[in-house]
Amino acid sequence: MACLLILFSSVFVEADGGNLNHRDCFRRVGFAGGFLQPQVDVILSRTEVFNGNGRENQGDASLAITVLPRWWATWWFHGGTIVVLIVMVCGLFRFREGARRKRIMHLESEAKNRDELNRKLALSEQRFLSFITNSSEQMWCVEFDEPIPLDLPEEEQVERILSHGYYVEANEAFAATYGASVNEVIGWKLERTLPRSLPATYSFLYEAVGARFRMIDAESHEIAKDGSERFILNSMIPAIEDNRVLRVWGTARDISVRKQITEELRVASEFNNVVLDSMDAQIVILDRAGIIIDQNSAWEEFADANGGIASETCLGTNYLETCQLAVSAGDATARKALQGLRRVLEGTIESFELEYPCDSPTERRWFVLRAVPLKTSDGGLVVSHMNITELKQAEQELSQQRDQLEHVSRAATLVEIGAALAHELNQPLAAILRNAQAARRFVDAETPDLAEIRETLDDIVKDNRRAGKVLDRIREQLSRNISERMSVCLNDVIGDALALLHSDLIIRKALIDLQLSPKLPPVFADPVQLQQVILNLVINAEDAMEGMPASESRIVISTTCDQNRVKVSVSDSGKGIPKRQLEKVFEPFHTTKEGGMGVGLAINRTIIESHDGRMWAENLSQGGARLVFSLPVLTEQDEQDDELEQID
Amino acid sequence: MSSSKSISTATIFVVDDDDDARVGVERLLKSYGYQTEMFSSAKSFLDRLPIEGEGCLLLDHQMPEMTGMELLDRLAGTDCTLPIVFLTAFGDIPTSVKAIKRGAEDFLPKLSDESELIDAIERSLNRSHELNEEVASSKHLCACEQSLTVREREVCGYVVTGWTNGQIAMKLAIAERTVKAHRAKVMEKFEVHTLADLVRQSMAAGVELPE
Repeated sequence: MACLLILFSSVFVEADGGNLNHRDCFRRVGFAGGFLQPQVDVILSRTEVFNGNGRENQGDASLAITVLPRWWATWWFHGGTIVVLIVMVCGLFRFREGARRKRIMHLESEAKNRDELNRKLALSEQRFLSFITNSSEQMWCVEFDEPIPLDLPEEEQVERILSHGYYVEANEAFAATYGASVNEVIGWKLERTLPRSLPATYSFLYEAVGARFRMIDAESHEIAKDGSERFILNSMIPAIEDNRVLRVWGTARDISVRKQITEELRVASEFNNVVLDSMDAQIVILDRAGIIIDQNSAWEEFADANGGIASETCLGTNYLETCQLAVSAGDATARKALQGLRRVLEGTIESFELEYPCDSPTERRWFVLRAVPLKTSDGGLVVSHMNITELKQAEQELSQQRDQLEHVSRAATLVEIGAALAHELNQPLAAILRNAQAARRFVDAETPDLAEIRETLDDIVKDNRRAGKVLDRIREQLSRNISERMSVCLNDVIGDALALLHSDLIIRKALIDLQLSPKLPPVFADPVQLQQVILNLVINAEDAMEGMPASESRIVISTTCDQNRVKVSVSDSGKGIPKRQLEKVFEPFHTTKEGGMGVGLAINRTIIESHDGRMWAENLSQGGARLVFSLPVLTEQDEQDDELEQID
Repeated sequence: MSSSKSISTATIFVVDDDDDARVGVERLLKSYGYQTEMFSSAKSFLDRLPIEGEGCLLLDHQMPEMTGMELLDRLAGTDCTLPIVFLTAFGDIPTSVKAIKRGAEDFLPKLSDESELIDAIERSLNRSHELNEEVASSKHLCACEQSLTVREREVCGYVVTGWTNGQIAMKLAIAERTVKAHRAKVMEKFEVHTLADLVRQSMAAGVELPE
């Protein structure tokens, strides 16, 4: 075959006139090298020739017509030993000269036409190229080292795409997507943007193979030049020949940003849901009208577990209306809840909280409802319900224990002043006894003096009442375990406590100096508990002055009021408290007294703090210690709360 | 009204800080016909001193400022001879022992029976009466003793010591008859007739004995 070609070539050498200049031929060799490129493969030919790669190529043959004769002649001429062959060719040429010449003429005219066509084509191509290059649409073309037969198994096709595909065309918009220039992208292997390490690569390619490389808006997950991720929407169309895919043309759209935003939104929403669902509290989110627009899983579970009617508790229902129904049915809790929720919605209050009992068929339960405004432009409410039964129980137990301790402390105080209390009772009893004895004698008289008898009996009744009051005070201290708060004037509380201590003060010979503010505002408190505090403070003061001469024993009790707080102080003229122990005296079981439990002051402080008050100890400059407590003045809110409690 | 066994001039003094208790006891004592004087504090009673005549003091222990026990101590330093009935809320032994040691006549709980109280008062009034009489007689003797002349006191001293008239006359270097006259005068002034009586009275009056 090669020989034949050489023969043909030789024919044209002679037809051109045969004056071969070897230098000229060398130049044309270089030229021919240029023509061997595929992009000039536009010329028709009737001959076949092998190109440089040994591959058959029609286009090359026509080049041989104009180029090869001199080249071959020159080259072979220099070959020396092969001159004989040229002679043989010449012989053949002569043999067919007439037909060849005619043909050459024809070809030359055709070539002229072709040049014209080529020129137009090149122009159009240039326009087209410019259009593609400057287009904002991303365009690409992938070609394969080996065309991919469509009848191969899909896996095989995918594998071949990855190993043989490379970019042969790309416009600037496309290259920019990957952060590279057009020149960089052209020649990139397909694997570079679609790495095998990404699972999305395979799903995308399988999809492409399944669609026979013809797809619209198929999403691919790719890697840019700097390694960052890209999400691309591809539309593609293949060039198929003999059921083999030679190349694929496509357009692309970078949706990474959109994808990222969508992803972020999804993550944020998922995060919100997870956070909501992870809460024990049952949460619902309402819009301005009260319609449930979101809920967490705890709410759903609770609604399910409590046999909630789906239409009353799930998304889209109106929470406020459900509340309203309960109110109409006479549910007092619902009424309070509804009021609170409406006020938060209106913005009258910042938040609303309501503790309420909600018993299940088997157990006593407590819940707390909290509502805060949903701070979006549309407004709304976030309502949470939480089971606080355990908390409530613990609170109640604690409060019970504290009450018990207070009770023990009160009893201990009474025992401590027992002798004095007995004396306190003894006085009216003695009066009753003597009056009754006298009355008996008056009655026995020959002429009973009825007026005298009546007077005596009146005194007996009066004395009896007095004894009864002492007993009442003792009983009050002993019998009450439950705290009841009311509007209380601390001056009265001090008076009551001193009535109990009356005899104790006499026996212990302590002088009390009362400096009470005449215009003391009331506080909201449990009077018996406060009485207990005063009792303890006075007894402590007496103890502090034990063994001191009567003339130096002085207890000052004073009440003052400043800045919405009522202050009560009890000072003694004893030795005072060592500076380091000023705070320690309030610790439980801290005692300096023989036989003391050391709980008095600790309990006092607990009582005062449970009334939102403060209690502290200080030393006086003139000697002695002062124990002070302060309580907030009764507010209208306290009174309202109190009234509400009573209504409930 | 039942009559009082005691002398009607006796007064019962009551010191108690408690008004009601004081009124009750006053009423009862009056029903027995006693004269009473009431005091609401130890101090007001001290202000009332001196107290003449017979009577007794009903004293409450537990009082402010000055207790019954303290008043007891204060009275020990005065010439007040009133027997004291001490009253406390309970009959606690340490207080009662203390009170008795300090010269209280009796000790009663405040809620004692009527009879106990009246008995205690009667005992005290009797004691007061005795004390009063003793005081009266010693006062009389004192007066007698004071009326003796120096020589008579001298002679009296020797007589009660057991000296004979002759020994006294020798000792004082006076006539025996003069001694007899002095001796008769002394017997007359002490209102006695026998030597034994003279010895007792002169001793009570505190006549000085010779060396």
